Amino acid sequence: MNTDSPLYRHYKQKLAQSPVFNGLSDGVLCDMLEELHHSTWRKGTEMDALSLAKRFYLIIDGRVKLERVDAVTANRVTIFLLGPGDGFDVISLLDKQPHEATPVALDDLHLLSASTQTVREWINHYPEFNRNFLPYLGQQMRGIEDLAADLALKDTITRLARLILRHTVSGAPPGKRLHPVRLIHDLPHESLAHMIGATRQVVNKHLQALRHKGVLDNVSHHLVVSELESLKEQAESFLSHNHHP
Amino acid sequence: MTGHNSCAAIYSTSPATEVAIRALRESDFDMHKVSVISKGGLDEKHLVGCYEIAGHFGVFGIQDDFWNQLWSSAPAAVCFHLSESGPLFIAGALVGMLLAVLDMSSGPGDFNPLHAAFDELGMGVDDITRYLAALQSGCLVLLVQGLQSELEQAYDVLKGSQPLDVSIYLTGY
Repeated sequence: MNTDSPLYRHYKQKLAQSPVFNGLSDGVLCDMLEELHHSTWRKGTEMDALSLAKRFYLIIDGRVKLERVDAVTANRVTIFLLGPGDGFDVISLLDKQPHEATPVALDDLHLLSASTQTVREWINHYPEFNRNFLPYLGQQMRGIEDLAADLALKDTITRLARLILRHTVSGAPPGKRLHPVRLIHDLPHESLAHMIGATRQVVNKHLQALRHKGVLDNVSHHLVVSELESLKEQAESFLSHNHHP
Repeated sequence: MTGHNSCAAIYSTSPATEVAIRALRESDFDMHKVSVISKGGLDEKHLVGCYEIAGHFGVFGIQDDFWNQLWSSAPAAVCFHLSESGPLFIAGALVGMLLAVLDMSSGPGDFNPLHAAFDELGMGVDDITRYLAALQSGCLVLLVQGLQSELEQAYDVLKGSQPLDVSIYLTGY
């Protein structure tokens, strides 16, 4: 890629902002950009799960969900919901095996990707990249642990409250009492249901109840949190770690 | 059927584009999935045109060697005059998609078939604007259509030919 092009500079800037590539030297970023492909997935694109074993993707812009679909019932569960700065699929990257999770673009996705072989070589070759990558992997694994624990131990309204709380941006903007919600703020109720192992009708009922209590609100069709403390109570406040906004 | 996915690269000159085409051919890429678009060197100083003599189609102008070679080997070729872009030479698989898009349109007017074809191939509005601007400035756009695995292969080949820019667009089809 032409290193003088505005797009190259844009990708380099976005890479540097990603938790996985943050803090890497300019030279290392340039070396990595030489290996990275830029691609765009149109909103709604559902890619072949096998492709995740071949390439590792970094999200520049947009959101993607990785979901498992039951072959018999067609029921779905969202394993990961990822946004700008996130990478996927970490599971195939670690064990070199195809993953059954299907990636689905929730927005027009702008991605940078490299072969999984190349990314593994980066982990071995660049200690600074490894230092970023391991905590990121840990964060992803905690997310799966939280999902499993919530599905097994919590009722649906608690699961929903915990989901929203995890995605609430801490600290309302100055002069505002509403807390924005990231990544899930405009998802349809069915998508939220897939994230907590419930049905659309149940999610709809719980959201209405939370709005009626004044815990949640809707601003320009975006979900926001009005009463953060009440939401924490509903979520039982048992989140095991801090969440990045 | 090539599907609605694409890989697009921008080159500043026809020799650079020739290098890319040769590289794709040498990598055994299916050249029926490749298209090239450009103004053909048309500007205010040079005469550019296309002609037919006894069933033979040809191009006259400063890029005539490049386009005559392309037109003779490509499955289809066309010269369009678009309201936004002006005259454009197009050779390759994209011609079929352009004609299909025109077939489905309600008529001429402000409709830009190249814009619609790029949209079909997965490009967003900003990307389409970028490619149309590149064509307007005299650059050439090399387009490859196919499955994701083919496009990843093409990307690696095209990257080696030093394009100004190269990207993959996937629609899931």
